[in-house]
Amino acid sequence: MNILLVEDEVRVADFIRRGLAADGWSVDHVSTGEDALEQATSNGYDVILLDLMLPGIQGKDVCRKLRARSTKTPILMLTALDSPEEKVEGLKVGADDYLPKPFDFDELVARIEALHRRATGYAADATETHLTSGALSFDRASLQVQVHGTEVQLSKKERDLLLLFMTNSGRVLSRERILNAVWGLNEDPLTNVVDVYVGRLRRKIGSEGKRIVTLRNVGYRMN
Amino acid sequence: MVAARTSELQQLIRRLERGEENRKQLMADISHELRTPLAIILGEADVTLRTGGTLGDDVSDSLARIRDSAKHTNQIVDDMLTVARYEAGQLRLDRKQTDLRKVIHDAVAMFPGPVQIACPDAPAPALIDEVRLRQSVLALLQNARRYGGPTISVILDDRTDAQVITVEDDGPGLSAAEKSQAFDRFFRGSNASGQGSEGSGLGLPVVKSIVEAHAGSVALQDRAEGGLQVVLTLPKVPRVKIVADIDGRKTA
Repeated sequence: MNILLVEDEVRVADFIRRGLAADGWSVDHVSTGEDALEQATSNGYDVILLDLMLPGIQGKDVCRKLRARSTKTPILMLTALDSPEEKVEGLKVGADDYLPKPFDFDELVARIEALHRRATGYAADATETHLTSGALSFDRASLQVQVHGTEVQLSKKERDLLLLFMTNSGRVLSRERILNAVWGLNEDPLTNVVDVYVGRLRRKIGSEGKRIVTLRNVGYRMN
Repeated sequence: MVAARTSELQQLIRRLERGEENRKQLMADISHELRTPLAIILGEADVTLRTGGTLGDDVSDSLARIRDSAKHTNQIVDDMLTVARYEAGQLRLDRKQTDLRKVIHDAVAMFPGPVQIACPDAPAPALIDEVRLRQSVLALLQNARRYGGPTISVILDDRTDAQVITVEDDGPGLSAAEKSQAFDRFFRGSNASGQGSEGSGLGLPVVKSIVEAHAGSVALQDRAEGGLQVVLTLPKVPRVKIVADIDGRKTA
């Protein structure tokens, strides 16, 4: 995936670029609105990450101008201003999503992927009603979960959690990402609710529970 | 003479008002200026943890502590902003008709420990900001766990004039002096010493700001059997007068 990063704070740009490069994505970085407009129109990017506070042309104006030139590239706004009015304003000028700083890196990756999926119309995961993974099977229509063909009773949150693991098999999921996906929380409520639920889920799915591994200081992954 | 005095007083009031405005602006500016360095600290630690597959446990744990402390600091900034916005009259609420029972159940579902819930069987609709109110109930549950006793309950009482949410525990409670200071920023009670590493000292001020923005109030009471009760009172919005329409049916 090709990403254009528009960010005037070099140290922020630096860790974002390294983090995304580690996921195998290529990142071009510019630090002014003027450069952003030039780059975005001359190169085809999959996603644009746009800081709102820029010297010269402001992020919002960059966004407005890109949309006026009918650039359809998904835009994710990044900003240290997090009031709800800012968010509404950002989406009004044509941004597709909005992430306040500081953010969890996993969350940034998830948002970029979601924007890319939406833009390319690729949503195979969402259309599949029956998921299987190892000895686990999950029926989205009947909400039935089976392990080795035996039905397992799960609560709604446990089901959501299992579904998240099954659709992200082999990928690391941070606690924040899980919290956001299952509980709809953007902020950390300083609880260990994720660990508690992962523990419960592991016990309920028996031998398959071992496939959910804890990665020290990072999160969980279903192998 | 009187005119001169009046003008002096008016100037003084203006100066005080300006001072207050400046203080609030300063708080918002500080909060905002802190977010970029926090983003860098958090991002650096996070990216290194994600990409450094060969980190030793010591290094990994150290980076995780850096990341978690940056998050904690950010939480304090968020809380300060909430309080500052409320005091400046700028705390915007996204109010929608919501069943308070759902707010309570959602907050409890996010809380890792056991909580007893006492809710009426009938829905308790209220015009509230669901996310903010849920945040408040969760903050009270966390306070109860951190500073209170092991038995925590949430009680919803749907009265004719108001809806009352009470969070109580069976811990040591608070002295009268502590109760009067509990809403001060960064105040911590005597039983908070040494164990408050994850709190912000802004839990109750944030809850107060959110509840008062809903035109409600927060009170601290002793529980009869020992422990603390935190009582959130949300007055019911004056009902639209019931009028009979032409057919004689009653409509709101």
